[in-house]
Amino acid sequence: MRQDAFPGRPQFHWACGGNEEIWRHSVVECHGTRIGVRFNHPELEDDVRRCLLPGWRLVRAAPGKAWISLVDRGPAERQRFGLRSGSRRPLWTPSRKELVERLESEIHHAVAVRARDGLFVHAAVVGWLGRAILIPGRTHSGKTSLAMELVRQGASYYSDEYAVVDAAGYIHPFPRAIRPRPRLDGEPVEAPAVSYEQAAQNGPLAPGLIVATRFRAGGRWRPAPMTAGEALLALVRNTVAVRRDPARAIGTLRRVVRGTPAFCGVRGEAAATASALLNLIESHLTKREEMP
Amino acid sequence: MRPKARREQLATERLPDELIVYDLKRHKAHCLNRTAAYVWEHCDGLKDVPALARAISGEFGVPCDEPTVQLAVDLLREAELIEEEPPEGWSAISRRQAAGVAGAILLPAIATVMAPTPAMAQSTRRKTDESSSSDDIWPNNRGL
Repeated sequence: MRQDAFPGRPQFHWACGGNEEIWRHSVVECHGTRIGVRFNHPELEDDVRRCLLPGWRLVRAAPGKAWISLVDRGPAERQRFGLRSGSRRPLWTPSRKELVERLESEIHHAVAVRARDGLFVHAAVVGWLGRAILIPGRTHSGKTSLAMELVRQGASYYSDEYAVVDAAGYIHPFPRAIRPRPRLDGEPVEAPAVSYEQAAQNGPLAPGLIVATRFRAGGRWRPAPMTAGEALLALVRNTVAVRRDPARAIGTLRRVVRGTPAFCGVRGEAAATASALLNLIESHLTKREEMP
Repeated sequence: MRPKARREQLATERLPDELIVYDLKRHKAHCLNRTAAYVWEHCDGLKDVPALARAISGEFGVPCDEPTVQLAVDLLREAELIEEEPPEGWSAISRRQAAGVAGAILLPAIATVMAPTPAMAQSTRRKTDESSSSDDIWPNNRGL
């Protein structure tokens, strides 16, 4: 059995298959839920801290049912670091950086699934003229690059991953660090300068525009209007916990789509599309102001 | 034929011109336009297709014919929002056939999406080896 590497800290033992290991745990508390992270080496707790967003905290408390486990098998092992989330198969990697990236994704996802405060929709969000532009989409749909370009053109950053929707249909920030994917030729892409602490302070916004789009090389943004129902379906497709409580999710999303212009279509380069989107929301807001 | 709408294990949410129906059993969300929603709401197992067509005409103030209702019932059945199978001799109506008679204004439409599982909604894909270790080094999930 290993010696206690964490004197004075809560601990527990797990023994199985001839292995006995000392594990510690931290509990991430945010959005009305708690996610437990177990680790077998004290340095891994620093990795957990790196995954916290502003306003989140580590607590000494019992977690909910969500557990993520981290293991460091030591430098002698080629696949040194392991991560296991729930009952899924573990990830093994030699790279600490990849471990942290994956841990961040797992914690954020666990929060998104279990959040009691807010409905998490997979979407990029920016603020413009006091309204939120929502770009729902899964991974590789190009929402991060579009959000980055909108921020470069003056929009305020809210999220490149989740729109956090409250019961009234307002959108809250989820200011994780923007992590653009490298270009196809491998060249890294520079993220715009964003103060994530400041982004976390951004107040909730009423939705102003919903854009269901996907990047296509050589494509051109020709937006087709969506009905409120179609916009709601576009959000449902990207709502993480919709299966857990469909009635609540759909009721919340109804407040988002009601009266919010929504468009869909493929897009080409982000710069031109971002500019068109800002014009689009401006013209809708102007029309609304002119209405008696 | 007197179609009967399925009502069990469904959650609904009304929008100004559409109805969202969430199938709690299959985890699908359907968006019904006005005509499809009206037909679904009035498929009580008592009204036949001509009666439904007359009811729609009265509701929308536009003449509605049987092929339009038939198309709506076909779409609802495809979405598994109608209880029984079509009777023998029931011929499916295409949108083109229905549009030729009713025009676009009453054409029923249903859009459907599958609700994602939590895993489907996760953004990062795992690239690294996921299976290079035995399972016995992991603690169980029962807590401390």
